[in-house]
Amino acid sequence: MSSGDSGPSSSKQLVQQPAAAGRSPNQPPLLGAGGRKVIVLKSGDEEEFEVDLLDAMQSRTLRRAIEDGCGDGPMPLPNLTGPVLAKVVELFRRHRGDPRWADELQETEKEGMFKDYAPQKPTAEVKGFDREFVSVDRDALFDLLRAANFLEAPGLLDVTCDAAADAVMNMTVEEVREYFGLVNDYTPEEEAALRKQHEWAFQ
Amino acid sequence: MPRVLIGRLTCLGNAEATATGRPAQTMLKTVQKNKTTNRQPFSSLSLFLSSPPSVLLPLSSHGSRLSSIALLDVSPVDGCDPSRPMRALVKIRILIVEDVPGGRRLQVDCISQLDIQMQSIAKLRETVVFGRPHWYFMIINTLFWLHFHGMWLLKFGCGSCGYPLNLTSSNRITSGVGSEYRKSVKKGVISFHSVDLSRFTQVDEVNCFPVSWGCHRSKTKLLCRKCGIFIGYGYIDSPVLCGFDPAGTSTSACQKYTIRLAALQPSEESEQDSCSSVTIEDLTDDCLLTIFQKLETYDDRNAFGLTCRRWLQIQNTARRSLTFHLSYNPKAYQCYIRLLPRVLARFPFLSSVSLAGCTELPDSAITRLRDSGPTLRSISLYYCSGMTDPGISLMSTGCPHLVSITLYRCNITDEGLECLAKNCSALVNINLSYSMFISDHGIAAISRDCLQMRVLVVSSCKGITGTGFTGCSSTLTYVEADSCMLTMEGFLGMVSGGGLEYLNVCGLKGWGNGDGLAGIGAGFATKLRFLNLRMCRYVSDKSVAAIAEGCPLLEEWSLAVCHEVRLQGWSAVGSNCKKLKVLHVNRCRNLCDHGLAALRNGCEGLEILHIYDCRRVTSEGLETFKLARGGVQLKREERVYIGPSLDDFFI
Repeated sequence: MSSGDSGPSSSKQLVQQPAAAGRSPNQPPLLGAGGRKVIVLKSGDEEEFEVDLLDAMQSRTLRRAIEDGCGDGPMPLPNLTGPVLAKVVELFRRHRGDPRWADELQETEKEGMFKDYAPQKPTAEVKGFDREFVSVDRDALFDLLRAANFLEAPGLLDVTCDAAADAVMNMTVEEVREYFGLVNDYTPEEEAALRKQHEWAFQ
Repeated sequence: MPRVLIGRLTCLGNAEATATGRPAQTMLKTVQKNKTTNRQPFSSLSLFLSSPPSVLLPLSSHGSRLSSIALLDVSPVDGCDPSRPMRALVKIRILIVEDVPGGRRLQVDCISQLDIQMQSIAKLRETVVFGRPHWYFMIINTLFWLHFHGMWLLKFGCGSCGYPLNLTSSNRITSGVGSEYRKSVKKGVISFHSVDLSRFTQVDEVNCFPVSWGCHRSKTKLLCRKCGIFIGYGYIDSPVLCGFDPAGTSTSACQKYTIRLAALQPSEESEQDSCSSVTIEDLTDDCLLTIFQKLETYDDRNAFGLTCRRWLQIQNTARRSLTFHLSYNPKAYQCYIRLLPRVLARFPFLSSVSLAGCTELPDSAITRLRDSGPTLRSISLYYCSGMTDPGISLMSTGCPHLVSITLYRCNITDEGLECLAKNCSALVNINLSYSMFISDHGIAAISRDCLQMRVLVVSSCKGITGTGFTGCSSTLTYVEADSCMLTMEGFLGMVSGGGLEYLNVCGLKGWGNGDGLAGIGAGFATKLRFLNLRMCRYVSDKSVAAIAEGCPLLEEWSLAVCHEVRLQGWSAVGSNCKKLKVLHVNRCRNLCDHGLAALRNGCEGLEILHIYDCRRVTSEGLETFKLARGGVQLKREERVYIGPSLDDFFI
């Protein structure tokens, strides 16, 4: 870890605390407006978003980058557009302390940077936000899925994959193909054989 | 910002590369193969990966490889001092495939930047090929070279408008790589054997060279479909003189397209294209697997797999268990034998297979289970009477990690059992009920080889006396040995491991006067919590007293239909079994009011008493019991099995 925390450790909500006065001088300048540690994410269309360092850690991709010391300047994410990144950042903020990823973080965290960052059960409010988050049209959902895939954020992946699975529920094969824009690469014989296997008695 | 040098190229040829990670090594081979002249415009090209290094680290570990690198953007770093090396930033996307124990994992990283340093900037500036600085051209060229060795995947768009031309480096003609390649590169063109013609406007230009080559060569000018800029030529080589042959299907095989390098720019994989038809094909398998696992119904899951091959693969790898339905139709078994290998081959990560109830399935059907081997944890051959030693032995050789196996009513003998114990030493749960041909030798093999054994069910195995259990592992916790021919020595063997918590020996056949159950209390069975002695008609007071003293943790005890237990026995139970919660005394002929009073005054922890049809207990005795122990629930039903259900261990 290149950016271990030397700030206050008594508070439950570390992120909302102003930084301690005695920061060591070699710490990267990660302090944003409210004294919080923030990093800047830059979308493919040059939009910049400030996001709390701890929130950004939800994404394994970002976490790797931050741990490698790339969190100082704006971090370019060329394959995410501004609107998508805006949504993602909002979700990160709402999922603060979500056990879907916080547990993992606690395990990997050796130096106690997040030791006060206790996992919390998602509240009804968060659940409501999640539902709202994915009530978008197909193309937007795919954009979010791609973003989740790229960022490797468990919470985001969970929410979007849930939505995708809900969307194809009770669909026929053809409908699923159309929905996901897949090309049927089976020969008719192969497809027939597969369908036969499914009829055949196993579970 | 930490940077990792992944390689250094000199003149696209003589490598003096220092390298970390595998790509550089591959690159090294590339350049060593190709000793070029020194007439290239710059003397060295260093490739750095600026961030994050963690992307490259896995490459050194076993089983991971770089799948592709797509070029996103090339931009020079401004303000370079001509005397110093020039730097260009190349944004790339790296795709790494890692083989992990459970399958393949894709790891994508998009924010990596390749930092290219070029020496001799002064020379570079002088060279301009087709209106673009030479370095640009050289970088594309270099990446092409790297792709040729399976490391890079490039996609190109039109150089002036960015329209995706769907040119991928994998379609390049590589047969002539070597001298011809360098020649064509000098001309500034590269050749493809196929291009996506829907991306080009074609203008026919027919040139006849009848004299020089004796062949008719038609040439098509390829223009960008969007902005109309000249990209390259398409050639149709036809061996026929003059144009009688309709340029059609037969000749299309020898097509060649030459594309001007300078008319191209690297493009992100058809990003614009995806706007018109959105697909999610660029998602990783992990992500699709997550979606798949959220589908709940059988039909939804099948529909997912039927869409295309890749998704079927995901469906197949996600499957962990397979259950076959029993059939009363003998013909169905022929079908099973034929299809089982195919079905097993389709699902590579099965952990549980059940063939329960397939009574007529022969050995040949399960030999294939050997192949789905290492992941298999649990097999149920419940009531597969067609199974014999050869089949089970062969299957066991391929399943070293097997944890549970059910061989209820299989025709296995000691030989097969020894083989199973030797090959599957990780076995924890075994059900051998109604295996008529096994004896203590087979059980001894299990006791010797399977040191993690926890649950062993040998109900109604008429050949077992129990001596095979001698020396069994202390992990053995649950034993069900009802209706076996247990002897006194066998009994001591069974508890010899010292870890037994559950013992079911109901229905013990006559031992005459020798009552060996006293052995249970001899200090080995101190952990026993559940003891089922139902229908052990000859269990004496002495034995019951020994058990009551020797098993202080006993929670549930069935003494139903134990006619020989008399007052002395009940008194021992009452005074010693402090933790007993449930007691079964149904149909005990020699339980009298005094016996019940002994239970009433002792057994402090008793919660439930199963009592019915005890002829010597009077209604007054029972009422007294009810009055004195109001907290104890009286039940009439007689239970055959007590304690936890062992079926739960066999998934």
